[in-house]
Amino acid sequence: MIAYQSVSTDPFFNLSLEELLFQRFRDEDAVIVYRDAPAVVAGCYQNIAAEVDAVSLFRRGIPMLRRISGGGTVYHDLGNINYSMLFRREGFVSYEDFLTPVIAALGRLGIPAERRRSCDIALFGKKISGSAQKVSGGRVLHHGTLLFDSELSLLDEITTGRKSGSFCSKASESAICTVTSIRREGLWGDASAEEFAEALLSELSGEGAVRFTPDEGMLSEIERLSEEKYRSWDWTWGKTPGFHFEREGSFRGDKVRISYSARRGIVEEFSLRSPALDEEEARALFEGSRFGPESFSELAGRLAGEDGEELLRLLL
Amino acid sequence: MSVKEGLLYTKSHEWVKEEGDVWVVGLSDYAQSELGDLVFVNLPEEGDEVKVGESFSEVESVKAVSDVYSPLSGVVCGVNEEVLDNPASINGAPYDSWMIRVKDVSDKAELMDAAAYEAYLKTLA
Repeated sequence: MIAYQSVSTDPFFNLSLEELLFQRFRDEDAVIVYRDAPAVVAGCYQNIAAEVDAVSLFRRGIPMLRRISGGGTVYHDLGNINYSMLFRREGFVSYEDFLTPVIAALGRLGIPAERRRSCDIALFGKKISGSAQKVSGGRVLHHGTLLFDSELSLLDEITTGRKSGSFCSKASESAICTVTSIRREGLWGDASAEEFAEALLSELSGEGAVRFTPDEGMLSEIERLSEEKYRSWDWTWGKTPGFHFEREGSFRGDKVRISYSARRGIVEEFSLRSPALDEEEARALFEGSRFGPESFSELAGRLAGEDGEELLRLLL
Repeated sequence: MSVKEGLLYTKSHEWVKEEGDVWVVGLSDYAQSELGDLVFVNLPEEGDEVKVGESFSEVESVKAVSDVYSPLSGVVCGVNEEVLDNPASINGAPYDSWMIRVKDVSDKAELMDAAAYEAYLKTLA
């Protein structure tokens, strides 16, 4: 068993670290823990813009990431501990083999956690942990969040604020749950999140686990994966399952009607009807463009000038 | 667990069926039952190459994304839009819900007939 607590709090780096170790450790099981600076992390087959208010997050500089496992959208901050179990395992998806040891480990740390639904862990009846998996090549990546001391009001605002009815697709949707944190329930009051993460890592990896440190070569591979995949438009927005979008609203005081589709993240069949804007110009700008807040922000600015922001909020 | 006669099966629980020059590929009843309710299926596009033992598709169930392995090497010449629109059709009718058709088949995984696959499933119980 290999054990590692990431020294980075960069969410792009940590997702890359996790994926790279998942690919690399063929004959060994590993447990890693990491904490991320504020970030939104969506499931592999989700439409991020349908799950969260992508424009607000973009403006606030909170990055949005896509992970390789399934499931719903979660909010990470430094008070949330992510644990990953990278285990050899033949066969299919199963949460029993992973959640049982996690709940036992929490019990030994004085946290009376219980399993709830298929992939969640609850404390005193409220969710503190969700988990998801990627199953590939005789190995399972099982990872989960664990709310130690997160900003729960921000988490609520971000993950429950948006359930846009404007997107229609086959993309996976998130479940909305009432959450709490270990600290909020009055446990582990004196420890920092980092100290708790270390204690959790020890319990999950067990006695005799080998401590691991990525070498220079591996660090540069992680950086490359972070740059080429997790920070790329192709992965984060280009992988959005095909969808159709329709919205009616008001722009510059008049009624506006917007509809478009996207496949592989490329906008098609774009239509914008508004007395205030040139429909042909709008179509020419957006048709074939990249879906996502960054490109939409730029195009909305070009089309609507100083009202670009108002238009952007109607487009996503 | 139903195993359909007339199909061939892999150890990773895909089924294949030869139809002239084209092979049809899907997931076995055992696979769909172990995966649970499918909520998303990702498939390659026509013209894409697939290789024996490599992942050609991903399916999502119970918050897990699982690779599906190709029993054949060849070129994708058909994609079942029906399973993309309705992934649960694989749960409901795994042997009718084909995923891809493959032509120019140059290599095959080790394949079992229905009786051999049934015997193999017993070893997993």
